[in-house]
Amino acid sequence: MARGLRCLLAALAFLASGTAVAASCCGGGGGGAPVLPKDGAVLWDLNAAVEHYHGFWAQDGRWLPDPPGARLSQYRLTPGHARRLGDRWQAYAILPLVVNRNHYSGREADTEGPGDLSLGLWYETFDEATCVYKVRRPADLRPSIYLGAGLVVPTGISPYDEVGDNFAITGRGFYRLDLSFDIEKTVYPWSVQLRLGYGRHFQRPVNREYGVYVAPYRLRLGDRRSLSLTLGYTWFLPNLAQLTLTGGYSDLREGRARIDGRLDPTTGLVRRSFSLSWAYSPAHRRWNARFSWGHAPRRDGWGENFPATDVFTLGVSHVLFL
Amino acid sequence: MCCSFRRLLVSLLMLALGGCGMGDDLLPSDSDLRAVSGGGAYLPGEPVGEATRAAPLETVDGAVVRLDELLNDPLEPPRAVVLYFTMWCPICLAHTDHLYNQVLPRHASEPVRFLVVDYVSGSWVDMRGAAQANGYLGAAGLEIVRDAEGVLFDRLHGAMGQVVVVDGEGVIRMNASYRDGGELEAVLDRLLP
Repeated sequence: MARGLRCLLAALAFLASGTAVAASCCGGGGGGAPVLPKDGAVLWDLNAAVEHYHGFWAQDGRWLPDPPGARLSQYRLTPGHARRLGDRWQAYAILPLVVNRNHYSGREADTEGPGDLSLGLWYETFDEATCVYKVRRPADLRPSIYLGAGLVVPTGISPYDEVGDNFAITGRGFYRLDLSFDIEKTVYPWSVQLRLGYGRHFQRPVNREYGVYVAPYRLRLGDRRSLSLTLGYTWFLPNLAQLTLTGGYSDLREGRARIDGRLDPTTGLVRRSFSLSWAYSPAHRRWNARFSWGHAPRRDGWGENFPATDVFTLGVSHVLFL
Repeated sequence: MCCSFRRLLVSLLMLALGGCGMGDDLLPSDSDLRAVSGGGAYLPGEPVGEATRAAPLETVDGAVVRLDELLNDPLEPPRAVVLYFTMWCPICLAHTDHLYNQVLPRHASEPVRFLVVDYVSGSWVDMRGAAQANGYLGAAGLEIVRDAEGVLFDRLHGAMGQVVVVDGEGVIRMNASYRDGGELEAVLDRLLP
C-alpha cells in the first residue's frame, strides 16, 4: 500500500466500517453511511478524518512495523447527504475527498483526489422511532431494523486508471454492491446496535496497471463481510441536549480476489478494530456533532494483509425535519 | 431502462470527474492497447536503457551493484533477472512470501536472480531494518537491494508490487503487477532451460 495501496485499502475500510453512533432512528446517528432519524426529511453531513498508519498485519496475522523512518497518514473530508424518499425509505450519498501525506526515509509523495462514491438506500421496518425511556410493556422492547443496499462507484483513482505510480491511488477501481442489516435499540440512557454487512465486487476487465498497458485480464475482488457492534450511553444535559458516548467493535473481512477465475493467494484481508465516539445534539436535534477514535490493536492476530491504523474523525450533521 | 439509468449515472460521473483525468474505472476497457503505448525502455520486448543498466543498487551490506554487472556476471551469467518493487507493505509482503515460497524454489538451480527492490528507504541501513522486520534479511536466493537514486523506479515505471523480468540480453520480458505470480511463472518457464 504504498501509500497507494494503503490509501486505497484504508479508504475501503473507512467506507465499510465507518464509526457508528448508536440511536440513529432517534437522531443520534452519524458516521459512515448517513442515516436519517425517523422524522427527518433531509440530512447534510460532513466528516473530517485523519488516519495514521502504524504498521500492518502480514497474511499470517503477524503485526509488523512500517519501514524505519516512515510516517504515513491519510486525510479525508467526506460530505454526505441523505434524503427521505417515503415513510420507510431513505437514500444517501457520500463522496470522500482523499489527501495522502506519506513520508518514507527515502521518498515523499503527497497526493489528493476523490475517493469512491457510495450511494445507498435504507428501508426502515418500523413506522415510529423505537427509542423509549422505560420499558412498560413488551412492545417497548421492539428494536429498529434497517435493511440497506448500497453501491460503491469507482470514482477514485485506482491502479487501473491513468496514474503514474501507486502513490496517487485514492480508490479501488471496482463497483461493489453492499447489503446491510442494522438492528438497534435504545432504552435511555442505553443504546445498542448491531450491523452486519455483505459486499460483492463486480468483475471488471483490466488492461492497464499503474499507467502501463498490460495483456487484458478479468479481475474480481473477494466478497466482503463486516460486523460492528456498539454500545452507547446518553446523558441528558440540563438544557435537554444529549451527550452520547459509544464504544464499538468491528470486524471486516474480504475474501481472495479472482484473476480470470483463478484465486489469487496473495489477496484477502481481515481487520478488527475498536472505536470510541462522543456525540452531542442540542435539544432541537437539528444538529449533531461527533468526535470518534477508531483503533486497531497493533498485535498479532488482529488483522491479516492490512494496515493497522488509528482514525480520528470530527463530524457534524444537520437535519431538516418533516 | 436499467442500462439507460446506468449510462446516465456514468455520464454524469464522468462529466463531473473527467476534468480530473479520472473515469476509466467507471467503464473499464478490455481492449489490448499495448501496441499503442508508443514504446519505451520499460515495456516488454524493449531493451532496458543505459541509465537503467547503470543504476546503483545498494545491498543490505551497503555495497553497490548495477544491473549491468548482474547481467554480465562472468561466473554465472543469468538467463533472467527478476526485479520485484517493494515498499514493505502488506501486499508487498504477501507477494514476497509467494515469490520466495512458491516461485523461487522451482528455479533454485537455474540461472536466474531474484531481486527485491526497495524504492522507499533512504539508506541501506533503513532497508536492512525493513528487510529484517519482514523476515527477509539473509533469505537464501533472494537479494534485497535499494534503488539508491530512484532510477529503476522512474525508468521502469515502477510501482508497488510491480515485477520486471529482464532476460540475459538485457531485454524486458515482463513489466506488470505481480498479481498471483502466474504471469511471472509463465515468463520464467519460457526463459529458463
